[in-house]
Amino acid sequence: MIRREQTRRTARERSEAEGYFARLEERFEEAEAAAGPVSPTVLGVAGTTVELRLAGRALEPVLLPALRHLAVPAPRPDGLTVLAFDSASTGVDPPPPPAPAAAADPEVARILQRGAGLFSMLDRRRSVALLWTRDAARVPWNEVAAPLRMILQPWLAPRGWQLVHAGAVGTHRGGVLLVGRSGAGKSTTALACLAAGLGYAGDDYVLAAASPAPEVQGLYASAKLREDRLDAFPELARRVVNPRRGADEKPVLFLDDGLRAHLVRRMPLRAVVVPRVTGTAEPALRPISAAAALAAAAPSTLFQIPLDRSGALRRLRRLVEACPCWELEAGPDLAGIAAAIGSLLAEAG
Amino acid sequence: MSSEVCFHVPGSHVISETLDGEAVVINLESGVYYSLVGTAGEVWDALRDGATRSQLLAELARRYRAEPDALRAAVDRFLGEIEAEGLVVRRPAERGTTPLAAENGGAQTLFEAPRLERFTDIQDLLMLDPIHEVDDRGWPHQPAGD
Repeated sequence: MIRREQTRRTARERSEAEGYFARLEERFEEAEAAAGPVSPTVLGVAGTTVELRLAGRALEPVLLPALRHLAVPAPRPDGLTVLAFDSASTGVDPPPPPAPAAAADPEVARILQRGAGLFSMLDRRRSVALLWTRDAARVPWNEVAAPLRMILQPWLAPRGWQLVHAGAVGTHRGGVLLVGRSGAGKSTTALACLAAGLGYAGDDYVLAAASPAPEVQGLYASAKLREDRLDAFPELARRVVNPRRGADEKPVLFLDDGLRAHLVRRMPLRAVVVPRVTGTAEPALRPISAAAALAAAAPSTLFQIPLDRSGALRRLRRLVEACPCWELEAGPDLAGIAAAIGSLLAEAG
Repeated sequence: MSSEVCFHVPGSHVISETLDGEAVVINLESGVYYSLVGTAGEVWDALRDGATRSQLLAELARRYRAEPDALRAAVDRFLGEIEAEGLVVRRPAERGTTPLAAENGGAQTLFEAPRLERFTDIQDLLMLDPIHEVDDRGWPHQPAGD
């Protein structure tokens, strides 16, 4: 088992959730033995590291395209280890579920994403997490674009970080967080800024923290386009990796090769912007209350990452209180959208 | 409303934050969320602090310039709305309820009716991909159980 030496609790003291985690970890080791060892990938995330250990290569195209730009040489002692396996490629199933109502352990987070077919578990005591799916080849593209959310959020929350359903653009001198419900214009705004040469930290999920100073960090080198916006972003559209996507899946692309230089890892947060792309208006920014920004930012974040939602709401509150909040009403003028964000950043210093 | 009543937030599935007098309230079970504007944020915080309806009306009348009947009607309408939405549950007030702390030093700002803005766009998201956190369905299933 990973870091067995850190576990001084006897089997009797272990919670049912820890017991299940231990059985799942044994299955990972069986899967790793069956599929052959793969060199771990170490990622730098929010000032620490995430070491990814995969059982075989089947999950590489699921977990690495959006994350490998974060690769660092070595793990930190305070880092997280993530073990991941699928059953289809390894022939190893997860253990049977424990007895009902057995899982109440605040130090062990678990999430089943039924639609995506992903099961995530995090043991905070040992900083070890496990991801399992039935068949790596069937993981939906929206998960490939933003993997490990259900592990990273509960692990990073005690450090003050919140994975926000938001985009972020700017430069190393300052950035804006783009919040709002799906379809409101986060992606369009973020990608318009990317196309105009601004740095890009994400269009769907980014990490943000309010203290010690408001900051946003890019996590995923991916973008999701709307079908009706493919023509507006020809340079991005030709990078789409899922031409045979399902009806409810958006075109996904990764910012590799020539676009990697546009990725910004961390930015001081200068403003929260709620885009409202209407298709008719000239780009116009108007100040809004922190509460209005919270109403735009919080619901989709809380429902897409349903872990410690009271804590998440408090963290988001601190974020919108820490910087000015704006609504960006915008139309089809993509260059105008980027110019509006650029001028906002210039004024914010 | 003749007898004295107060309202409490039912359980942990209704969460909220109030910023500068505006409250954001989220019902985690239904996926419906709300912006509480006008004086609704103040009303919400007062209810969470245990204010009775009478205390609430008295405090708003002290803080704001308003026709008493209009103020009462606006507050009762709002209380009815948040009760109907399941954000609060009405119950008889206990004796000895602490009066509300006075604010604004008696300033006579014009009363703005408490208003509830309701949003349902997240519900679609919940229907699309239910995510189970800690209930007993939230475990990997064997192939036969899929």
